[in-house]
Amino acid sequence: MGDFLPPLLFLAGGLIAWQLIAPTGWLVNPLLLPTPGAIAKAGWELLGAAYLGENFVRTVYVIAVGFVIAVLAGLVLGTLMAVVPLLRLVMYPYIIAFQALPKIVLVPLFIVLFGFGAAAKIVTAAAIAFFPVFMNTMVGLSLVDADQRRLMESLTASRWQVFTKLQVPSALPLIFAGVKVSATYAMTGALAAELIAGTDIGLGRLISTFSFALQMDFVFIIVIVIAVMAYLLFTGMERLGEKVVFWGEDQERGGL
Amino acid sequence: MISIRGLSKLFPTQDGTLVALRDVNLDIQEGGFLSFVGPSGCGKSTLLNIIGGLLQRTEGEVRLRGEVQDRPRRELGMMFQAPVLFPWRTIVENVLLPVEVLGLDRAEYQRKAMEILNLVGLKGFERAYPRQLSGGMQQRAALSRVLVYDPDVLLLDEPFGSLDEFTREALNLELMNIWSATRKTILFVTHNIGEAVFLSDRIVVMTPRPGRIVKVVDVNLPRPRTRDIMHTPAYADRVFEVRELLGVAH
Repeated sequence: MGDFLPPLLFLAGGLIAWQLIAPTGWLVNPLLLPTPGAIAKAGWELLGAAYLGENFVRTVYVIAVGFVIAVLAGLVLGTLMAVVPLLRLVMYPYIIAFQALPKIVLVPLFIVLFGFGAAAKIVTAAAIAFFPVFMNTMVGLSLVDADQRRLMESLTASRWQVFTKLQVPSALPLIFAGVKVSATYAMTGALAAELIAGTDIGLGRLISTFSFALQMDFVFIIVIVIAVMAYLLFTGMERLGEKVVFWGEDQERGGL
Repeated sequence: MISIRGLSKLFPTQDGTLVALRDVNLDIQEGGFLSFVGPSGCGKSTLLNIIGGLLQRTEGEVRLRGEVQDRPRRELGMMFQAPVLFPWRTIVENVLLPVEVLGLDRAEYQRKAMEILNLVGLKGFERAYPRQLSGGMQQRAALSRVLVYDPDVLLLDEPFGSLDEFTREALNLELMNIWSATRKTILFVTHNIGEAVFLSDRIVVMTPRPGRIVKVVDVNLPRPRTRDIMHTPAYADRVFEVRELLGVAH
């Protein structure tokens, strides 16, 4: 509990200062920066409205499905590239090129292809979240300690045994680091696609609607909802990571 | 049991070819303790890896019980300078790795693994993870791992080279006890002359550039040996002889 106190005091102090300074118009036009009190009032109003839940559920759904697709595709393709050298040789330049491309520019294309519904947003989230898992799976499976490989060889291990007993476990820390990054990327992709699409439902759509209407207090509420969601997602993944990679190896070595 | 004829090993490098081993001939008897001694670069580890089938030779041949030996085999157990334990496995799971890979009966070997861990002084650490153990204890676990599946020949590549003097001496004594009890053929690579004399029946003295055998020294010290043997003139003579062979060759 002691660890929470200093940040909470900092937050309270900041909110009080903001509440006092904002109405004076001294720093920012009050229309653009509502006071914490106004935001809280808007929050009360918005949390009672049925449409917030509907939009929230849609966004969570888009993130979750996009994330799952990204992880599965990343694991499968990353593994294929790691174990089939020819495939890596042929595909690698294209994958790097696709990775370098800011996937956001593909959103209009996805909307044309998949329509204004959830599908285009799921595809965007998946396309953005795919790379960390893919790259870290490929790199992790390929970067096996030479001595450990020699040990397996000396035991006359088959290729399959080397894969299951050595490559997969030693890749896990890196793969999981990738999965964690992917989770936040999926969220970014989903919200960005909703913002860009500007139609249909979702938290991203709500932000764009409210900001066009200059209802900044509502915009802040959505941002807070998203921030809490991101925090829960990230810490949840962190916990899961500690469970999966329980031997406490540095998860951030190499890769993405 | 193992015969080596005209063995050479070349490594291509940026500025030409490195002759790691040149024309090595050696016969290794079953049940003996044989050490390979020499400075870095004399090819002793390379030779051990070729015998173990982990490296391919350039010329010549190695035969194991008359058969051409060019690949890893169940009969040959390797141990390296680093413990090479898998950090995601407990100590006993690490020891059982060969059992799993070789498809042996896990239940039966579980008991054996426990016995061996007890023998090497790791009782109570079966369920610990490698990072919780000191370097010496990790190497004891690695030793247990090679003993558990009972290979005929142990190929030990500077197994205690990275440990401190005291731990190394303790492990040498344990290794000797294990050898006395099992009479396995042990091939032991080291750059420590005293250690080689203390442990071995015969010492293969090697020199670098190109890696070759200068002489095979018969140790001829009585067994069983204890630490005390290190204070005898016969021990000192043997150490002196090996040192001279290495010194003269330079």
